[in-house]
Amino acid sequence: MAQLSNKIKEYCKANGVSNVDFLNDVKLQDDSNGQGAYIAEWNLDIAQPTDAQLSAQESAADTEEANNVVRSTRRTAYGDIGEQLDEIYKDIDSWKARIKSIKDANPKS
Amino acid sequence: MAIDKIQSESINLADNFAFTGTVSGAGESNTPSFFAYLSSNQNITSDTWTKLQCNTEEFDSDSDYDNSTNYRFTPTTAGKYYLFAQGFMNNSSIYVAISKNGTRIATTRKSATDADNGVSISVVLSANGSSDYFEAEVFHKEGTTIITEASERRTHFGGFLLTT
Repeated sequence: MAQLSNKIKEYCKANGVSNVDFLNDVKLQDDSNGQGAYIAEWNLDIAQPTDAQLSAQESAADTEEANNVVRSTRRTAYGDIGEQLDEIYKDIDSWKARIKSIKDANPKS
Repeated sequence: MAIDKIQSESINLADNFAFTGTVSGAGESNTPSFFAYLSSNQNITSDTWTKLQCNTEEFDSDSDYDNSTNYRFTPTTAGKYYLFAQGFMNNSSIYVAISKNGTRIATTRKSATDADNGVSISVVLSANGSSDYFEAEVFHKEGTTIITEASERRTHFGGFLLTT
């Protein structure tokens, strides 16, 4: 099951809000009591989604979540930014080839 | 021998005093106090302030820390408390907060510039000694589930009475 934040992002996208700040616009809370995450505060102009509206975003949110795992894996494989700059300075084509191989090995959905 | 008064004498504050006994009745006991940490990694969902489940106690002087249900410190003595917490995530930005009565009071964050990202926070807060309680929370924005690590007590929560 997709995470609540990803379902909210998809719901917002579908309603014309392309970016959600989860530190201000929407605040989610997990009290670690086994009940999972819930919406503690909704500060966007569009209406707070119902459970059914969130469930409708399950598939899109699953895809986004899978892509987030890919992004994280790629980021780790890319390595330290400073090291990459050094790599680019020494041989930019070699760096590009390495980045491409990481992207190819970790495709997005 | 207990000293109950000093008469017709003065103490030169420039002198040296070498105590060989015990001085009591001075200073603070600094209790209630506690220190707790994770026994295993805790999953943190993305974009969600999540309460730390520090379930293993190093010490808990007055049994004021709940390490099994609410993971909160409810001190039974009124006063000012020094509280601290730490979270630890790999390849992720991380936010750590300490809340009082369910409201986040102090937060800090660190960007994902390091593979191993440990972030600590400390704050001094007042408690009424009965109903006020403190909790520690973490947050990230990675879009997927990330763990805050238990190894070497990397994720912990603690506090002690500074003064009444």
